[in-house]
This record gives sequence, structure tokens and C-alpha cells, in this order.
Amino acid sequence: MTDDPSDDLEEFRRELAELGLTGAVKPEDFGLEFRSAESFTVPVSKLERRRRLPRWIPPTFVAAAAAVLVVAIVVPKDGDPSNPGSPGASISPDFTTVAQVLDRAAEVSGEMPDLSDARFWRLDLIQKQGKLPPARLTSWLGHHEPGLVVDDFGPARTPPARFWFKGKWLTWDQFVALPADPVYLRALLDEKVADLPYPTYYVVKEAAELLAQSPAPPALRKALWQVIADVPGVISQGRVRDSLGREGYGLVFDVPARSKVQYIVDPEKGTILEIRSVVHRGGEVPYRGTFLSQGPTNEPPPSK
Amino acid sequence: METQEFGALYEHLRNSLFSYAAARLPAQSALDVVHDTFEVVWAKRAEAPLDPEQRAAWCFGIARNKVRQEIQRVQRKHHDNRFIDGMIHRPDPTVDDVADAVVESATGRSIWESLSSDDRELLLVVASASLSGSEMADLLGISHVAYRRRVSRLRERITTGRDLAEQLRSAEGGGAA
Repeated sequence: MTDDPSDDLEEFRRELAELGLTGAVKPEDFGLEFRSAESFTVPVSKLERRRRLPRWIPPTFVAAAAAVLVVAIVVPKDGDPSNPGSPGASISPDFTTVAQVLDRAAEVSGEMPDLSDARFWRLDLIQKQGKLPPARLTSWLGHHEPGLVVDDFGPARTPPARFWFKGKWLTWDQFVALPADPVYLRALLDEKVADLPYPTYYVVKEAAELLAQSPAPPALRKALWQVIADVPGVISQGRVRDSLGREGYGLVFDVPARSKVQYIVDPEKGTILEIRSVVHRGGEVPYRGTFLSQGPTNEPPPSK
Repeated sequence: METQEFGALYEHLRNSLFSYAAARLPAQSALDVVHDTFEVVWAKRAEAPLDPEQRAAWCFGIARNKVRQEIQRVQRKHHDNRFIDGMIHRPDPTVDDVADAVVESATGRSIWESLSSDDRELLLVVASASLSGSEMADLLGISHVAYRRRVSRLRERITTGRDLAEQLRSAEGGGAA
């Protein structure tokens, strides 16, 4: 140790130890370990040196994910017909009220096949935050096993899917088994957001996020649409297009003194195409999430 | 910088850099910061200062940037985008992870919880026990004078925290620390 005696560091460290504050943290405390010094200096292939790559993710996967990212951003894909959860490209009926849009979305959602028993729930979206360029995010929620989120910063491992309700995490199976009752779900969401400012906004937000990004089975999806339909203050904008040019219905929820949140919904597919925050003054859009697809898959994140 | 010098530098600094980063980031991210820092150090070894003290300060500058970038990356996630983020980050593992690793008594826990994030950072760096006072000042990006002042204040706060914890224990009828 190269200590400076004038700082009395040794004495200070002894005091800490006596108080039960070891202070020192090491990777081993967290089940991690330092790389060897040689691993930095011995030449390895470019892919093997890929930064922030957990040991369990093969480098080739990162290359594949990057290729998908480029393709997806350059050529945004519309809904995949083979994927019941994919947002679609067009709508036919002409709805004029919020209730018409949400009722239809609920009806369609309730008729979808139940695909909630998959190994993973895969989600693809493009996020735009402030002035930053759009960024692709792909996630695999694992039913019983760990999942993965890949964004422009690389892959990040996630625990098996879990959903925060009533002060505890629900597993995937507990979540999909929730009663498909809008009154029950509303009470559940009310309890979850009770301490937040503008709780009704958060009820809409939570319900919309579950519709857009979770393996909720048809009856539960239907009930979630009904939860949103029962929240006062949602305004219809009629037909609008999302940032990829897909047509949907715009529904706006006003958050007093702050911003409004716009949901672009395709009622014929029972899906949310895009979510935007719009600041009241100036119309700035600090956040936009454009959903490309979501749905079940039994294929885990690529392993080679 | 030759391989051997690099190895010695890595051995000397890695624990302190990890402690510094772990005060602000989850453990895995803190480890990534250390590794990313030394990736840069090796890649830019031709630019490394010759003087060992300056060389350590140079490494600390790289590490501070890495920590800042990682914090920005996390903070960049907008509040309207917390669904997936929540899968990864809730409950926030940073504080609990570090607290579990550094705290060995009820008194220690009480003191740790009373400290600000700056104080916790300083405590972790000091306790990593591998750097001199001036190196720690460099790592924290402050002058040596400011560093000594902060250490002094930290010791005062810890003493106050210890006294409070003892008073509380007395009021509750005693008990082991």
C-alpha cells in the first residue's frame, strides 16, 4: 500500500472496521470477478473484445442483433401476419368516439388465440428520446428463464419476466392468471399508482404498457382495454399516422400542467402502434415509443 | 507502457476503481467500468504519462468518464419508458448490493444509511486500501486539500452516526451492534 501517513487512513479504516463498516467492496462480493491483465493485452478477435458483453452471450449474437437493428431502422417492418401480436398497417372502419375505438380493440383482443404459454415474449420497438436519434430495443421476456434486452448500448440480461403489483412481483404465470375483470384490474392499478401524481394518468399508462409489452392473454387484454375505456378524460383525435406512417386512431390523455400522452391504436388488431409524450407548450415530443411487433416465441435469444 | 507495467497498474488500481464505480452503479456495471477503463488504457498506452502518479491520475480520468457515461445512459431512460427498464432495474440493486457487502453490524448499517452518496463514495474509496491520499484525490477529481477536508467531515459524520446509533440502542433497551 502506498499510503500517506498524514491522512491517518489506517486509523480511519480501523475505526470503520470497529463500527462494522468494512467499506471495501470487491467483485467477488457480487459473484463477479476481474478479468486477468492478460485478457487486455493478448490480441483477440474483434468480436471477442466486444465491450459489455456478458460471458454467456456469444459475440456472434451481438453481430446478428446489430444487423437486425440496421435493417429494422432503415426498412421499418409492418406487422408480421404470422404474429398475432404484431401491430398492423391499416384500419378500415371509421370510428368517431373513444368508446368505439376502445370497444373494438377490446373485442378484437378478446378473440385472439391465447399464446401466453410461450417460452419468451419478444418485443421490438423504436424509441426516440428528446433530440437523440431513434434507437431500436428488442427484448425477450423469459417465461421461466432469464430474458434479454438489446438496445443501442448492447445486451443486458433480465431475470425471468416479472410484473410489479400490490407491492410484490408477479411471475409470468401469476400475471396471466389475473382475473380478466376490468373492475378488479382497475382496483389493482389504482392501488399501484395511488402515491403518484396524476394517478389516473398512470392507470392509463400502466394498462397501455401491459397491452403493448406483455404476454397478457386475450381475456386479460380485453379487460385492460376496458380499464382504459372507463378512465375519464381520454380524447379521440380520429385517424392519425404514427412515425412509420401506419394508420391508427389517436387517443390523447391530458396530464394537467405537464404534458399530454398520445396513444395511436389500431383497433382492428387490438394493438398500440405508438406512444408519445407531448409537452403542452411548444409541442415538443420528449419521448416516442413505436411498437414494431410483440408476440410469443419459443426461440430464445440467438446463441450462436 | 509494456505488458508488465500495464499488469502492475491494473493490479494496483482495479480494486479502488471498482469501489469508486460501485458507489454509483450496480456491481456488474461497476465491473464493466473497470474493464472498459483498462481497455482504453491499453489501447492508448502510447499516450500514457511516464510519471507513475500522473499515469494513475490519467486512468482515473478515464474511469470517471466511464462512470459518468454509464450514469447518463441509465438516466437517459425516460420516465415514459420504464416498463422494460423496470424488468431490469427494480428494485434498484445499487444501494442494497453495496450495503450488504460493506455493512457488518446494525450500527454500521445505521451509519451507512445516514451518509450521502458522496460520502458513501468517499468511504468506499478510502476503504479499498490500495491508494495514497493524493491518488484518492485524483480519483475523486478533487484537490488534495479538498479531499482531506472531505475525509475529515466524513469522519465527523461517522462519529455522529455512531453516537446516534448508540443513543437509539440505549433508548430501546440495549442490544448488540
